Amino acid sequence: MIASAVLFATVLSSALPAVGEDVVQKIVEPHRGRVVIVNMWATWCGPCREELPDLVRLYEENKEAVVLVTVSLDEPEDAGKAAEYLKQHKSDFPAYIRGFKDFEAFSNALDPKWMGAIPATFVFDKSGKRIFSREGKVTYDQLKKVIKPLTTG
Amino acid sequence: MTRNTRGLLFVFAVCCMFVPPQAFAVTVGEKVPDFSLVDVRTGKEVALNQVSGPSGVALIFVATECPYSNAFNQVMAGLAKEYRAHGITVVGINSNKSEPLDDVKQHADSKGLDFIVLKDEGRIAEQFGATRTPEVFLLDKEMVVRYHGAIGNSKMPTTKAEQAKADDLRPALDAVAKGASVQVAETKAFGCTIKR
Repeated sequence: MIASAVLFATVLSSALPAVGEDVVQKIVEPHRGRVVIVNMWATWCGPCREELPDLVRLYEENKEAVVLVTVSLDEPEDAGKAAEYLKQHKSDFPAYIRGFKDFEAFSNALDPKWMGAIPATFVFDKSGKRIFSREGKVTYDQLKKVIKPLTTG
Repeated sequence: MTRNTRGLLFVFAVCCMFVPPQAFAVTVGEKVPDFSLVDVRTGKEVALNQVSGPSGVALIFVATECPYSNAFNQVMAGLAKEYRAHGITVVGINSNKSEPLDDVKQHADSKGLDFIVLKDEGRIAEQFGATRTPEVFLLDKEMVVRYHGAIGNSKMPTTKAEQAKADDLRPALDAVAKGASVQVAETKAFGCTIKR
């Protein structure tokens, strides 16, 4: 009882786990067999906040075949703020915060062509191969078109 | 079908094929064509060659609301002051559709951006292939791009002014001021997407 209360308190107070240069191994590879949508966002980024409900909806509707993983690029000490914002979406997608030491290595791991603007969204197929990258806002319809051929057949 | 009509049909086919608009992104080593934009403080159009220094110009795409860009406000103002003496001017360009001229002017004045700030409706960002803020294109006196990328902190981007450094841009500015070649001519900048 005490142990579970402590655990519960830890979950409530814990911010987002950090992810660094091993971003692909850490957040894409564990989901092999599902399509992985990786979204880079920040609490202060207007277009990021605008697109998040679309991403969550797509994930909620396709949970068996698709997983959404978000990485907040807020300053690490703002992890609590970012986690608080994500809670509003009442979804269970895995969420991380930046923990890299070298942005170039981190961004190259996701896509060498990503120049570092956010929002940014990457889609990996069931085998873990990156098949879509976008700098700037994406919509539900745009992403649906991307994931459809990857989730059927 | 006579030879003439066949020829005409050919011309028709060529002229009416869909040709997508050419995406033109400036690359390092390339000369930039002159352009004019409105100076947010005077409301008047100025040409690139009017705002360039005798040794060159650092064009920096900026935003009013992006914390990554705002972290560098004082750094940019400091560089403008310092490198003016070396013949290089710093010029800000705001290409965000969501940030109108009056807001850009107000931001420039209140945040101490003591350098020329121009308002772009998106055309120049497109021409340069600029996608984020802050993002630098450093041109020499011949208007050739010598450096493209971050102002600094490209290894560990920050939204905190006290941590912002010009460690990526400074060596390039020094080289251009001396007419020497730039050792690291391209870095990855980090920031917000330019909303055109």
